[in-house]
Amino acid sequence: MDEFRQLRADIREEIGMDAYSRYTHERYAITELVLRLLEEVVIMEFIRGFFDFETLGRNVRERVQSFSSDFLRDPKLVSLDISKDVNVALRTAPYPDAAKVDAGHKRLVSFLVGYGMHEEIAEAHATIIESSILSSMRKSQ
Amino acid sequence: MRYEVFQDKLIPGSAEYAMKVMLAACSLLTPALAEESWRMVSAVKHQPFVAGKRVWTRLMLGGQECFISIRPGEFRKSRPQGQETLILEAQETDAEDTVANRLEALLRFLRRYSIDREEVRQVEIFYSAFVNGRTVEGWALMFARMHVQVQSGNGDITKLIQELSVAGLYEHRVPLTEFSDAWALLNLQYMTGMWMENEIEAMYEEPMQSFQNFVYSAAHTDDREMLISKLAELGNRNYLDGITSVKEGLAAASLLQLADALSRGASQFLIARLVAHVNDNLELKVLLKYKAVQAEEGYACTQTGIMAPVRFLFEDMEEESKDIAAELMEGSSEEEVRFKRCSPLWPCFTRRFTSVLITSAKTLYGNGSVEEGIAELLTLVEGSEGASMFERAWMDFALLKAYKKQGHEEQVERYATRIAGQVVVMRVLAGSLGKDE
Repeated sequence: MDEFRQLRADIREEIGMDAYSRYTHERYAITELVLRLLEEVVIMEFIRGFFDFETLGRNVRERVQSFSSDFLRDPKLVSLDISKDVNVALRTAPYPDAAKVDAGHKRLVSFLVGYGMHEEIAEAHATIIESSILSSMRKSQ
Repeated sequence: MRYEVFQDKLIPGSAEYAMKVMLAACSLLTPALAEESWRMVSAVKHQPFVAGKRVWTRLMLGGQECFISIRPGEFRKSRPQGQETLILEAQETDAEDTVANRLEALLRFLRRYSIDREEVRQVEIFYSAFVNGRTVEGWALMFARMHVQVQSGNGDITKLIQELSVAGLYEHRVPLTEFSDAWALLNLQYMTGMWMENEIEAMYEEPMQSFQNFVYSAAHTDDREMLISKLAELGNRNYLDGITSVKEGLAAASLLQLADALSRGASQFLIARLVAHVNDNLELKVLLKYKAVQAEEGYACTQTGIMAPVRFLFEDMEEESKDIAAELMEGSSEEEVRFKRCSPLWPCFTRRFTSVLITSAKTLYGNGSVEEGIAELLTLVEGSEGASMFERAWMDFALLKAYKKQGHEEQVERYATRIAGQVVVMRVLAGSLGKDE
C-alpha cells in the first residue's frame, strides 16, 4: 500500500465512529466514498498552510476551498475530486516548522468541531491525525 | 436446509473459533429478540434494486414498525417520505433459517470435533436455555446479589466486578443488552452513593426502565448536580472506551481476541447510548462529548462485527475470498474491500486476517500473481505471533492452494501433510475418528 493510501487508512481508523458526528437523527450507514472525502479534506485542512497553492497548478486553491465548504454543508454536494491535489501536496509541501504545525493543528480542530465533534474529541483526533500526516510527509519526501 | 459449520469441512482450531463467535452473536439479545432480529436481516437481504427509487422494507421489530433500506444502509423508526420512496412489505423468510438451527449445528460440530468436553457442555447448556427462550443465568438475580454486596461493602469488590464482567461479556451467560443496562444501573448507584432499596431483583428485571426511573428520582433531589456530573463521567468514559475496544479488536493478534473486544465494545456503546437517551428524555443537560446517534451507531457497527461470523461460519471456507475477488473484479478498490470487513464501521475481521483473505482472493480467484501472493502469505505467516490455531490453519490452506496453482508439488505435499496431520490428531483427541466414515 502506498504512503497516501496508508495515511488515509490510518485517518479512517482514527476518526472511526466519530465520522457520525455530523448526523443527528436517524441511523445512517456512511458510505466508503464519504469517508474517503472526509479523509482528504482532513489532510488538506492540516497541510494547506504549508505551501503556496499556486505551485500545485491553476485554481487549486479555489478547488480545495470549495471542496471543504461543500463537504461541511453536505458531502452529497461534493462534485470535485481533489485526490490528486492532496497526493501531490503531501509529496511536495515542505516539512513545516513548529509554528506552521500549530496553525495546521488549529485549522484541523476547527474543521472537526465544525463537522460536529466535541472540542475535546476533535483535539484528541487532531493530535493523532497530525502525527500520522507528519510521519507520512517525512517518509514521502 | 441443514446448516453445517464451514459446510462440514474440518479446519484445525475451528471448534474453538466457532464456539467463541457463535455464543457472542447469540447472546447479544434475549433469545426471542435474537430470532426476531435474525428474521429481520433475512427479510431485507434480498431487497430489490429499483432504478430511480429508494427502496425500504417495512417490518415489525419488538411490536414496533420500522423501515430499513440497504442501498445505502439506513434504519428508521418513522415512515420515509418523498417521491423517490418505495416501501415494500417484508417477505416471509425460510422457517429453517433461524439462530437456533445454527446453534444446533454448532453443537453437532463440537460433539464431533471438539477436544474440550467442557466447551461442549457449555454450548449444550446455552443451546438448551436458548431454545426454551431462556438465558443461561437470570441477570436480575445475578445483579441483585451484586447490588447487595457492593452496597454493603462486603467482600472484594474488584474481584466481584471482574467475575460479573467475565460472566456477562466473555461467558455469555446473560444477554449483552440486559447486562449492559443493569451494569450501568449498578455503576451509577455506586458512583453516586444513592441506592435503590426496595425490590432489588425486580428492579434489575427491567434495567433500562429502572435506570431511567433512578435518574429521574435522583434528579429531583438536592444531589441533582452531582448526579449530572456522574452521568457525564459514565457516558463519556464508556463512549471513549467503546472506540478503544473496537480499535484494539481490529489490531488484535487473533480473531478470538477480536470477538472479546467487540463484546466489550458493544456493551460500552450500549451504556453510552443509554446515558445519552436518558439525558435527552429527561432534558438533564449532561455534558456529553458525543451525540446519541454516535453511541447508537457505535453499537450498531459493533453488532455488525459480532454477527458477521454467523454467516461466515456456515459458508464454504472459500466463499469469503471468492466474494472479495468478485468485488475487486467489479472495480472495487482494495480499500473498499477492506473497509467492509475491517474498519471501525464494519469490524468483522482483524487487520491481519483481512489481509490473508484479500491476498488469497487475488492469488487464487483473481488475476494476482501467484508468486507475489505466496510471498505475501508467507510474510503474514511470519508475523502471525499470537494468532489462533484456526487462523494458522487457514493460512496453511491458503498456501496449499496457492502452491497447487503454481504447480509446486513439493510444497503442496508439505502443506497437505501438515494439515492432514493436524486434522487426524484433532479427531483422535476428540474421539470422533472413524465414527462417521
